[in-house]
Amino acid sequence: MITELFKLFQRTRDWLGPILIFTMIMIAFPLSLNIYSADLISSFESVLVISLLMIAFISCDGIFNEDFLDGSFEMLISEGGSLFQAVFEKLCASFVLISFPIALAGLLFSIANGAINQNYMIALLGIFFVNIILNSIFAFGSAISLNKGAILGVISVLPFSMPAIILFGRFLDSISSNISSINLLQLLGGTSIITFLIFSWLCSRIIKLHIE
Amino acid sequence: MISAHNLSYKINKNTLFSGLNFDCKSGNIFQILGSNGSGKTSLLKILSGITNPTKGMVTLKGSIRKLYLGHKIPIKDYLTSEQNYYLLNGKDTLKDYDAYCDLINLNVPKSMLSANLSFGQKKKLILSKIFNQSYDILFLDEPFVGLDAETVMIIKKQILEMKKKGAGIFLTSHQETLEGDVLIDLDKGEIS
Amino acid sequence: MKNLLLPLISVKEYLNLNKMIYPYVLFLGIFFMLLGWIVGLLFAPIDAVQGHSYRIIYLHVPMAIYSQLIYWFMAIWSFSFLIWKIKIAPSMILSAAYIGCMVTFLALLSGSVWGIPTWGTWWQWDARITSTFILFIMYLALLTVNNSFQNTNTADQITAWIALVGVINIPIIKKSVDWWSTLHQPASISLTTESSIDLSMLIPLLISIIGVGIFLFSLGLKVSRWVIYRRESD
Repeated sequence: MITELFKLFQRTRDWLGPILIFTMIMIAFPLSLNIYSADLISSFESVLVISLLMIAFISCDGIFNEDFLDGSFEMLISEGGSLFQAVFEKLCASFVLISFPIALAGLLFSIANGAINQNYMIALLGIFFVNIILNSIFAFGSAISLNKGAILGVISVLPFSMPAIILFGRFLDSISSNISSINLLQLLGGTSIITFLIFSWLCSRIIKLHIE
Repeated sequence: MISAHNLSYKINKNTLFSGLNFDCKSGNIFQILGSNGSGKTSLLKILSGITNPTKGMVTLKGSIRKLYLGHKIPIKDYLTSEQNYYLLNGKDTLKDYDAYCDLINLNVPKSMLSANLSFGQKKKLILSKIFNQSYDILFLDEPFVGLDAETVMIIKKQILEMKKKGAGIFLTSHQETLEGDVLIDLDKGEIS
Repeated sequence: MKNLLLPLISVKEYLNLNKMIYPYVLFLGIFFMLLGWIVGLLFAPIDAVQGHSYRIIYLHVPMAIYSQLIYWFMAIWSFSFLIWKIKIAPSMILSAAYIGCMVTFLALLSGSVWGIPTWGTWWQWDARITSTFILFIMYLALLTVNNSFQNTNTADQITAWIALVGVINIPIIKKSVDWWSTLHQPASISLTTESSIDLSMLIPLLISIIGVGIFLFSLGLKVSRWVIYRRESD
């Protein structure tokens, strides 16, 4: 776990890149509208959702490529190591270094754009959880398309992310209209844990298939 | 220690080998021969449990520490050579980085990024695994490619040492640098 | 019993059985399908509200039903392939994906055509339509994935995994869209009017559902034979 974190930290481009792209989208979005327009708040939610989707795709693209191509996975299997654990740790590292900062940035921009004006903690956790879900799903896509380019993974897993997007949209709706959203947060949290575990396992199966 | 029963392997419709039976006892060196594309690497991968055979099965007796070292080099370019060394061998190693460098003539400063290493130097780093841990079975795919003559001698000595300790060793090599106890010829399908 | 199961295991036995029953199934399918359509189009009464345009249900409803059923069929084969490594399973999954893709497309198309006179719009982000559309995309994705791997074994297993995971996704998508649309807009359209349908319209509908089912089955036989031959020749 620490090792994976360290390895990811060394590759600055892989973790800082997605965060920067996210920030740039968030800055570019009000510039493209009239800055004082009331549309800003109403369309902010969908921009947030779409950019989270995009960032999940970017940050998971090639997450397993390096270890697959340089033979680390083969060595791991031959030594009797657990592929599931390796995938699990990799994803955890990306949650800490990519998803959490993005959740924080997402919250800050939501406040700045006036979409969220209370329940900050709940909003932060909600964005973080949906990030976990999307990252797990796109990691599965990246496992499918290990040496085939990113497009294949995206088209094969994008349908799986639809429910998460719908759920998150509703969560944002309830939080911006100040309805109690703790139930939705719990649902998001539970879903994220289940998705994370299931998709890590699926990733390890698919990687094993690729190695064979 | 490890035995193969009626092993067959084919990719799509192309049969690489079929009906291989053998039994590896401790202290045996198996040398796998064959022309390019005869399935040497595939056989090693099947034996080490990375790939599943199309037919037949591989049985291992008891808990066995095994290692497969293939053509691919699991060295991370963005880490220094010392970090890679400890990534491969774990925190508490038999030899520390400097001692290993002395042993195998690896003149690389600790803080050098691995991206700047040559193929042979990377290979030397990988081979540190067989110096630091005791394995029951080794699967070495062309271990001597890209190494200088002196290093080949050192690696050979270490392999023979491990054999003396009772490890089973499978290797493929185009150069006849190490005499095998058992030869598996995949072109003819013979085991002698 | 063992003889009955043999075509599941041996490709040769399957092909023999396939060739033997294909003409009969095709004939039965076309017969019932045409019967249902002729009765439905010519003899069923005119709908009080929708006029003649409702008659597209004789195409639309069977297609919509089978678009989902075929996915289940595919998922069952995927499951059996991953567990028991049944030999003909990959061919079945692939042929089901081809037919499912076509059927789902027809369901969407006929739905849109029907939507123009009835709702005044050809598209609505309703739960059922959205989930059918995603289903269509999933069929296409499966075909793409299967096509992009050179190693047949890898391609088959990955396809089976996606098909199997996808089957969990379909009810989830339907539920979540349902949930979502009740928040944003009241469900203005409901397609489930089958219970209130008149018997004289229902009977041709049932016949055409059965007929289309048998016809698709015969199509499946044909396509699976083609898929098996193509895989053999690779």
